[in-house]
Amino acid sequence: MAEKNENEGNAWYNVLQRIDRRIISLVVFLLVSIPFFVSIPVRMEISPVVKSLYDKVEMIAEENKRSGEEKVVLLAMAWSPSVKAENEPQTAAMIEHLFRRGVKFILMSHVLPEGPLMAERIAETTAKRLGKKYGEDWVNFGYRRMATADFRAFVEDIYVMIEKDFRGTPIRDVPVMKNVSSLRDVALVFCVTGSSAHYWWIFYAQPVVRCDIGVGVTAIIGPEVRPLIDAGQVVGMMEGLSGAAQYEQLLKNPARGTRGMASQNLVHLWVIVAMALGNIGYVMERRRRKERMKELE
Amino acid sequence: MHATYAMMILIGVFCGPIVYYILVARAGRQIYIRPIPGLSAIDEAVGRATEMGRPVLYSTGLSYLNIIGLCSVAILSHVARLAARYDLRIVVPVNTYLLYPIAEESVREAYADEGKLDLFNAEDVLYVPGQFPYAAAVVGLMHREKPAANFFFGYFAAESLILAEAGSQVGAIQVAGTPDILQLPFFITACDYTIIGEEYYAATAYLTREPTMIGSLRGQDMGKVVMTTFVVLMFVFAILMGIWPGVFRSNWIVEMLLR
Amino acid sequence: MRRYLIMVLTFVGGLYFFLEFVLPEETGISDMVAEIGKVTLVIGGFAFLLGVINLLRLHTAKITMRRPGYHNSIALMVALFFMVIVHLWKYYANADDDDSVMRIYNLLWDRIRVPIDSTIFSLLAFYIVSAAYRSFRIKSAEAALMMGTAVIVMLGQIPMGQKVTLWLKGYETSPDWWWLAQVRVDTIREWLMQVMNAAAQRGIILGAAVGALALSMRIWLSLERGSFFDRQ
Repeated sequence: MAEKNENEGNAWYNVLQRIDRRIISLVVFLLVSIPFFVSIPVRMEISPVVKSLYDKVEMIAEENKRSGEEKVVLLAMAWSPSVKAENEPQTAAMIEHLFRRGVKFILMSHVLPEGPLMAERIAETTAKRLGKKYGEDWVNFGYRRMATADFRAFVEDIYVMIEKDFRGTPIRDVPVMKNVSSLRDVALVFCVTGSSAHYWWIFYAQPVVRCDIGVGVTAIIGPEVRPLIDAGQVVGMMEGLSGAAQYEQLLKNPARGTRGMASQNLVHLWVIVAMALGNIGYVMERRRRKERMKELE
Repeated sequence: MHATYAMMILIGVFCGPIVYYILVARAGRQIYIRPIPGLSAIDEAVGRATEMGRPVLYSTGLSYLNIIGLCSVAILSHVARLAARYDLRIVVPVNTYLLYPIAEESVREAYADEGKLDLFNAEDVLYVPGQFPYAAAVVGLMHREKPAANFFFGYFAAESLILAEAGSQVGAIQVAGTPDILQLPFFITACDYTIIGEEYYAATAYLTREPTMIGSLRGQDMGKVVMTTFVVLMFVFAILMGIWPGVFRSNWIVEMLLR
Repeated sequence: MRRYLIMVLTFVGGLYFFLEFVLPEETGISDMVAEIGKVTLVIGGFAFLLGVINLLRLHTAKITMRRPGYHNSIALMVALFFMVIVHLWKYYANADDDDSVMRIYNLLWDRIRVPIDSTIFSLLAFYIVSAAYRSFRIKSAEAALMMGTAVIVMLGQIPMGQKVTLWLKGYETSPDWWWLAQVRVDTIREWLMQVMNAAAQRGIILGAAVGALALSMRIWLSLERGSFFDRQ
């Protein structure tokens, strides 16, 4: 009887349920690494939420051209190196789009200090390629810690909280800030975050200045933003790496997001396969158990 | 940013029943609240740690000094008191500098109240800043200290699954509670008991069974009933607007509420 | 006496912010908000110092008493002081990109801090896969439904998954079979996320928000009880 039980334990359906987590992790590692060496083409269907964000930036560019007004976009960089894999391609895609369409933008963060630093590097690299200049095409306020009260004051009047950019230049002397004094002069706030930093803009900025808000968030946070899109509080979203890849596809500029999607592609398939294996084993074990119960009766 | 008429109505809708039921509960009426398995399991988990002679780990996550953090410290106080009663060590890694002195004081006083101040070790309440440094530190703690029970109460972000899986690997019984929706799937998958959404805020009421607090729980449920009824009525109204737009108009409602 | 003082201060503090929210701006009650914000930042600064002192105290004790793992404490202290010194030097020297201090700073940041942070986050990928494999079992009809939904959402997110039903897009212009074009994994995924998920999110958000409101009221009115609050 004990021998029979031991054989049951080693039965293929039980083995399927007990695959060592090291093997599972090893397969993940291999699947993530393969696209580094083998080029896997990625072509995605564009999600409506990504398209609406893209269309919003296009609309701002067209409006600026038509009216000659030069509204700017504020990029709130509330992300840190830990979420770089998802948020960096989103930031890069948005900066590329804004540079291409000649829409000036502001980089800043009041939540995490690393975001504006990493975004500045992206902006400088992209600017070199597209012939853009700091001060005329973008400005970086850097990190300025703000509590709720400070943030509310900032929303009404930017100059109350920010005097200089991250290079030490008074922001009144920066050409980008020529027609900008409060968030009312900002056409879009694009918040890139791996946490809940977008709520600052939705709760404290939007009710006051009625600005449009777009977000670039990690895939984990994406579901939380969906009700906000439904309610019209958020105009569009880049959700995780796939959101960035879709945005790059709209720009016809495959970059980090698209390259990363190849790895994500394979790992998602492995998750489905692993779950299927576990469940095949589980269902077969249940069936065998029922058969044994019948035999004993 | 100031309240619109809609906000003021909502404040009345939610706060009114809370105040009413607090008064009702204080008047002596018995109010039933359903069992919350996760909170009942706290005693069981500490008991298991006592039997195994291993410490207890309590993580406040990334909680800041707000109601989530304060609620976490309140539950920590309860757990620390139980740990002190059974002569157990409790290890408390804290991520936020604002919450750290409160957590340390709370654990110290829990031990003092049980007359076991000599068992309290200030080094067991650690300050570990940064999200992923915190996760790495807690995982290391779990593998070294091998706690028999892990408690995760507070605000958690992406590190939640790292903590829960590491705890599962060392074989600890795990109870998690967070009001944040996004981490619930990870806690439900990896922990033995999970406390969801408003159950987290009800923890202190549930653990103390104080009539005032039970009354406020009933009051908040009644507020939700009123709100849900209103949502259903507006849903019906929206359908009627679609069918008879000339008869059912929404403009005056919207204008009044947004003023 | 201490208890009553705390109750009064808590009530007055909460009352101010409540009135500031409900009363219109014309009353001038919002003018103090910025100043109060600065006070909280200053208090936060003191608390931050306390946290750093705790770190130093803990790890210095570990090093001097040669407790197990003290070499990790040495690494932490060296890294802490080195980073602080380099940052202060960079700041006060107004360093350019070519300066040696900037190169050291960039090395510490780009080559150490950023990869380490990303590495710990990337552990999630392995944990998620192993947790999904271990926990997703079709034990009931609801579990089967959940798993089916999970598979559709995952497939709808990746190019290879979307390709499975991409051919249905060709029916978009068909007068009789146009609806087939909507039965693709990516459109179903979008519907699940935007409609079903949003509804569930709203339900939990409403419950949690009301719970937070009730707890806030209890704390404001000093009605909260429990080991921690009783003592306050």
